[in-house]
Amino acid sequence: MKRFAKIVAPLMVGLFVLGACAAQPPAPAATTDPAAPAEAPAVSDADDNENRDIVIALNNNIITLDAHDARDALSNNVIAAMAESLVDFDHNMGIIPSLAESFEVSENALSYTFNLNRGISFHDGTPFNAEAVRVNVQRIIDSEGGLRQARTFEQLDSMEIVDDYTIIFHLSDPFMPFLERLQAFRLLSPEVILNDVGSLARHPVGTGQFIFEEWVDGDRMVMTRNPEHRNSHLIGVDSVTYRFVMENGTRVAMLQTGEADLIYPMPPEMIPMVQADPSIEIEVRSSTVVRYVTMNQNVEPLNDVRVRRAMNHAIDVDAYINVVRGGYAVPLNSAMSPILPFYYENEPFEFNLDLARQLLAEAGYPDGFSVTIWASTSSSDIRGMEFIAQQLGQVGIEVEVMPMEEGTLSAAVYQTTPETTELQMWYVSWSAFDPDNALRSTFVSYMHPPTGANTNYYVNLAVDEAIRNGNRAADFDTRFEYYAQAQRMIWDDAVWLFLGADETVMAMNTRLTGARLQPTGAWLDLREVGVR
Amino acid sequence: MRFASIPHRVNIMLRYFIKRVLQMIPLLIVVSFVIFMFIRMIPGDPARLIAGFDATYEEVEAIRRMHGLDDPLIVQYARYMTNLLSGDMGTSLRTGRPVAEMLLPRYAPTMTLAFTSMLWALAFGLIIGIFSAIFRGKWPDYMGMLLAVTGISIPAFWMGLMLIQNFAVVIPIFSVIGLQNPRDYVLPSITLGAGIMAMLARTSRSEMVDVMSHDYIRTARAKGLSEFEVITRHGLRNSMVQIMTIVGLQFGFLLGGSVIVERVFGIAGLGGLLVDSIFFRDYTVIQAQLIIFSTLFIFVNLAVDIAYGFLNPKIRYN
Repeated sequence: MKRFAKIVAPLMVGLFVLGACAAQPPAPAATTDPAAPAEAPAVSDADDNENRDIVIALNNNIITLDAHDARDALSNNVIAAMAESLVDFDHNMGIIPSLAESFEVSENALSYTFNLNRGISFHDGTPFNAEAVRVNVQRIIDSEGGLRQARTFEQLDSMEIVDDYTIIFHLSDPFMPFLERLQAFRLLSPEVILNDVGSLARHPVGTGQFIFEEWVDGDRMVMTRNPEHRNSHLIGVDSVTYRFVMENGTRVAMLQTGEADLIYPMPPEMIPMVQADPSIEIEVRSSTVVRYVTMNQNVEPLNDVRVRRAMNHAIDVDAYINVVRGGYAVPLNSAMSPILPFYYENEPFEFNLDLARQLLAEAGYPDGFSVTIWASTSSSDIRGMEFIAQQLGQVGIEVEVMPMEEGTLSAAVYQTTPETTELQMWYVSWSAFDPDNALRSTFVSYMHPPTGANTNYYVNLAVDEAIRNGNRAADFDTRFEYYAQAQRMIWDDAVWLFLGADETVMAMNTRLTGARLQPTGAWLDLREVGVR
Repeated sequence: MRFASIPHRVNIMLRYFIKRVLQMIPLLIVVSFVIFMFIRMIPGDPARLIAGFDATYEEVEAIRRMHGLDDPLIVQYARYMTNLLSGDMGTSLRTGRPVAEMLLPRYAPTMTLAFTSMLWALAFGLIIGIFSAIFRGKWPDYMGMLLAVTGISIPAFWMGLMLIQNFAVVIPIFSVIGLQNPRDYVLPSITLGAGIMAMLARTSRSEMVDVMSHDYIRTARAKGLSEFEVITRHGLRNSMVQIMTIVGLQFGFLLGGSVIVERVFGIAGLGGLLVDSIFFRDYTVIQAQLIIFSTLFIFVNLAVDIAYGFLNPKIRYN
């Protein structure tokens, strides 16, 4: 009996402890305020006892807080609230000054002069000036390509400090996307860069509206309002906590219980679950993410433009958007997202199976052919591939669907050469903020793997030339004309199976004000966030 | 080896323990080599995965050089082992941070969750198993086994989401995510332990059924012991060797962290980190985690082996 007690008693105690914990009354949900009327006044009128700490649930972990080396959208998302750039996007993705007070580009598009704002300090008190900019850029150049931001300064020839608040970047070659690239180049304290650069991955010190507080890996990152910021009056919260919650259902449950004030992204298929809840609102925005299928133009019959056009005619893009993207996408009618400034709208390929069959017959494939499509193992990608296989099956094209683990897939696509690649078709997405990144990386003839991401193995020297000229032209209209030329040729050559441009969805508690998705759809804009 | 002033039985056990620990050293060296080479045989280029699909060849090569991934494998292994022996597990390829710094804060949640899950699974598993065995072929047996089959069959993923919907959203007793206070462990522990509870219930039932048919049980009853004593002192104790084997094995797996439960309940544990690291081919983090898991697994099984001696004195440490 004693021995029985020895074994079972501790177990029972443990269970009772668990049970007792479970029986405690629920703690008040930290952030729920269901009573708050939707039309309540904004933050400035919130009384002092009101909870001004907000929680944002993101769908993945952040990887680094080093603004110069962040490569993923979420890390950049979080950093953007703490560190600022010389220039920023306005609501239409136009470039506006930020840390710079103004800027001008020389007529030959080789010199970019930035007049900097005065009286700004980094969070550690170090003043922001031309020397701070130089130290930041120098760190990136010295990394010899190791840091992500090295791409921004590929064309940089030299820097010239005119005075404490004026700096000029001289480029070796005209490159207009430089301005758009600078939007992602966020300034960090030169003091930290020079003396404790290793800490930047964990503890960013920028000039932003929020100050870094703590980061518990995989769990949360907390930042507090920066009262010294020139726009601090626009911020109506005391702190922002990011929680990293990969499971879609869990994120939605957090929003429902008030454990999170905002979830991003909101899984579209779960919108009906929260639509009836008056305390939750949904925001949908077009994004820079485009979805398509690359087709290896070194292999038969994908090297025949008639075959590629036939395939585009065989896809019902509206059905794709509904079936695969849950209705949250728009048709893709060019090689880049419709929200990018230099977007050119082409005449869509009509969904017409007869026309598709006719084109296939002309190309010598009246009964279709067999082809393999690759994509990742995500359920959404598999659904996409199966949809494409079903659609192309209608005109006799037999598509073998091959989901591959992401790392394996990346090796199969990029660790190869035009001669050795086994790639035929790849269902994939691309996100770019400037026309150069949208077009040059994916269509220019010298960007075949392993050098770049032209996984179509597309070669059209006229496209190369148009993109090059677009990057060099200083005025908007000329740039647009060149980029439009490139987009027309890519469309006419049916280089991709053009599918859709994603819409991003976020959902938030109605007590939140001023939080919106950036025009890129790629991150949250918290520059005016508050609570009712 | 004989330790003075230590009772003979404990002395034998201590020698056994030291012998087993010493045996672990060559084993771990082999494990480290196998892990090092195997994870590099998985297709996938960490430099490309870190740089991103839109990176140029030059960028990818710069990252490869920065992390020494362009050195011959044997040079990389030698460098890795030299660092490991001096207590340095290396730097994460993906985050650029020391691996130890990344792993440390994730241990407590995983260990605590593994412990609480095993605790309730063992308690309920034993109770159900014993009752099912005693009432074999009667309704408590059927009920118990129905519960066990249900526990094994329900996917943890679904169970977690259902528990959240019912006990955090509809009836707000628990919070959806996090492990801030003891109450937060309830839902993830139930989810993580359900399968093991079911397995333990079935094992303890069949063991008890077997043990209870032995002659010494009849003898115990003939001696006039109460049925309760017969079951606990003679029945349960003799079943425990098998049950402890399962506990040891399962606990080893739990220490590895349950990816699914961590994901559903937003817990920053080791399982999620391992999956992320494999996804990005973050070699240093994968290596460190696998070596730590192997070591823990070996230790847990050593503990189980030692526990056998307590449960059944006929088992000798030699």
